[in-house]
Amino acid sequence: MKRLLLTFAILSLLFAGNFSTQPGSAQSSDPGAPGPLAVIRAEYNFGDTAFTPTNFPAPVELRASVHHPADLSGGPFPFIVFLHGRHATCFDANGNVALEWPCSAGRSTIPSFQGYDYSAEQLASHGFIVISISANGVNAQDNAVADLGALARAELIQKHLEIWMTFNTTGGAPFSTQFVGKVNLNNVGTMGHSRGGEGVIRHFQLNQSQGSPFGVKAVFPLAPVDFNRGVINNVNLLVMLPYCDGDVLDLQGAHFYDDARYNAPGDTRPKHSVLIMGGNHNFYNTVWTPGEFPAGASDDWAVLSSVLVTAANDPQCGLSSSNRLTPAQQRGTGKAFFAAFFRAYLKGESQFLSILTSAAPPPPSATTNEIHVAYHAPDNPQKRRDVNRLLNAGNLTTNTLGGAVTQNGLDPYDLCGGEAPQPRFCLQRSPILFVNLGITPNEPHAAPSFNAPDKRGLSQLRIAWVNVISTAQYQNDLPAGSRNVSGFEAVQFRVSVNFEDPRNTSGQPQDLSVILTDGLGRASTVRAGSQSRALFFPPGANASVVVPRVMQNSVRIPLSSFGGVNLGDIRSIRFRFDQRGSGALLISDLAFASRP
Amino acid sequence: MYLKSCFSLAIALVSLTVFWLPVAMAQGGAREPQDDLLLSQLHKSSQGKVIAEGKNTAGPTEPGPFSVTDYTVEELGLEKAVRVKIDGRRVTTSKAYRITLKGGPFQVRAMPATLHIDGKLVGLGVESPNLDSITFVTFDRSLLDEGATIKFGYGGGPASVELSDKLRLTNPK
Repeated sequence: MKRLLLTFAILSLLFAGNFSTQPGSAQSSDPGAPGPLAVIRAEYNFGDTAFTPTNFPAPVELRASVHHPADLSGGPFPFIVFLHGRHATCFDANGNVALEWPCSAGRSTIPSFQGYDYSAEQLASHGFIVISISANGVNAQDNAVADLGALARAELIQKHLEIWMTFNTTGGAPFSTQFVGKVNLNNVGTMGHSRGGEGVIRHFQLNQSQGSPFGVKAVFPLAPVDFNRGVINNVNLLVMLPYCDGDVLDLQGAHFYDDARYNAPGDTRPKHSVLIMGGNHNFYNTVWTPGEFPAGASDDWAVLSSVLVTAANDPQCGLSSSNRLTPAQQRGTGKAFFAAFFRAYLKGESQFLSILTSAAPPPPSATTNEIHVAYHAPDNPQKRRDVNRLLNAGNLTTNTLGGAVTQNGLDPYDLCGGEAPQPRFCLQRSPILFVNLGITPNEPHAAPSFNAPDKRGLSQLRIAWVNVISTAQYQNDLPAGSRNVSGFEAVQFRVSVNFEDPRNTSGQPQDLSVILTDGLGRASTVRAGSQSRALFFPPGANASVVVPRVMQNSVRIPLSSFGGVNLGDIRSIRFRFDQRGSGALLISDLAFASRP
Repeated sequence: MYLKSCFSLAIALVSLTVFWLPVAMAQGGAREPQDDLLLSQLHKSSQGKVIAEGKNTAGPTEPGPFSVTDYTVEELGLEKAVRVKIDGRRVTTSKAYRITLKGGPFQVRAMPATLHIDGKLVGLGVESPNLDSITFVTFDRSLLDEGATIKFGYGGGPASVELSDKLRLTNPK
């Protein structure tokens, strides 16, 4: 039975934040602010055993919440599906939790699907219909199947979409004809948290394998597992990773972005990665957050600290660290980026692309500026020109455009993390941790996956320098035919500071000069640190084992910053390592790029 | 600074090795979908023949980390011989082995429960409905060596602990 739980009018108010802005960019409007539409919340529930996924040991529920504009006359509306992750399923009056489905007598359901209402309400106020589906039945059985529930989750999403196809065409209980013609199932977004994150990846594949009966346009894995190394292309993708994740310790979901980049030539859609520096795994879901639900909630970093005592006092992620986000702050990061992503790609609100491409800082609704973004533009000659993909040894001397690559004063100067014969890991500690602990939490880009243990990770250029007279440099020449870059917005690359290399000073950001030289020999220099904070020194204590982490984030420098050169005839891009006496970096994806 | 960093990491690793045995997730992480049904049944089947048992204590009366209090290893006879994969090879067997950790309540996490015996991954755990036990099933009898260390955790990584009792077979070979 449909229940109307909440109707509220949304005021068009502005959040009064006082945040320092990222250098070199202007603040766009705030996607996470409440929208103008009144919202209604409802639920539907077809029973705890209404659906059995293929080859799954037991049936699961078909239950979901719905947030939608109170006035549906403006439809059809874009449609978003939220899918929670793995958590206990039932609890009793004493707060004891259980993992069974359905819940036995004396126990009640833990409504993990309700844990994202804060975002669903906000999105609905901007004109989306948002459902959040319950997957407790999957959680109760998924460790017993080989893919750890990825296909079951995908099929569950597809089943709900089929239900909505009925609601949208002929109508059906419990909504009668209320949603007939009001849902645009050719404009669908999915957000999955934790195991749900891999679930939305698997769902995109499943929907595609069925001929794409639903138009999935945007996929958002949040703190996802990646047990199976699924790769999706030709869909807008954003992976959000919390730096202080105490459950998915190795941030293995970084692969979804990395693996998709060059996987499908002509891929028309962009990829984004967002790193939340003070975020943990659980606080994105209110039902999993201590103090907000009576049973089963935890701070996953605290759980980690119970067996790894050094983690408790970590200066970045430790339990009393001021760098950790409160639950409300963390939800702010979710709300801001869910909204920026889905509003940009399902509603065409292009003003938010600047947030997603690191051209603008996080909006006030994100509640923190300690967020780093990576952006991979569509494989479209108007949107991206790869200068050096840095995928193989040949790219050390010849770049992707066919131009010469030279360096001076760099040692090492090699590739790591990618396909053999590259070393599998970039950090010295990772082989030790891999052998001794089985995971590599400090370099997520090389994290092994359960069901693809031998698959390699991200190929990265590994360099270091010690300057005597500031001569260390790395140069990529642009051959004829590729020198007119005036149509692009920026030159960009991904980078991380190699925290374990002693040539970096602990706690100090790195910096370098980026120099464009034109056909007349004129050079223009921009200091990377004036445009980006991606060269931060990764925080955390070595004793915490799982941090610090090397994560690749985008340095984006607008081409408008390079004065006095002819952007129609650029002959080279040079990195000059003259801002610090020494340093060590990991670099990938050097390109000219524009927003999607 | 580098030496200091290395020293900190070394200290951390030394402390880890006190509790955590070498593991290699790559040794046995991947499972075959066709094994699912059989494995699922074996996790829940009736009691087998107990061939090992032991305790996990952090003190005289305290359970160890992650609230593991006891373990048992059972030999399960199969109704008929099956072809299964061991160390990448398909073999025929008529026995399986179920390791049950008791205690709890065990957590339900994104990363699956893992069990390693002498550094080799036994498998991924399936929690009981009451979260007072987790079972692991293997067909590989060679993993069950007398005196072997038993390590339990989530995802195989730092969130893992070694049980205080080694593997104690009731009838060691």
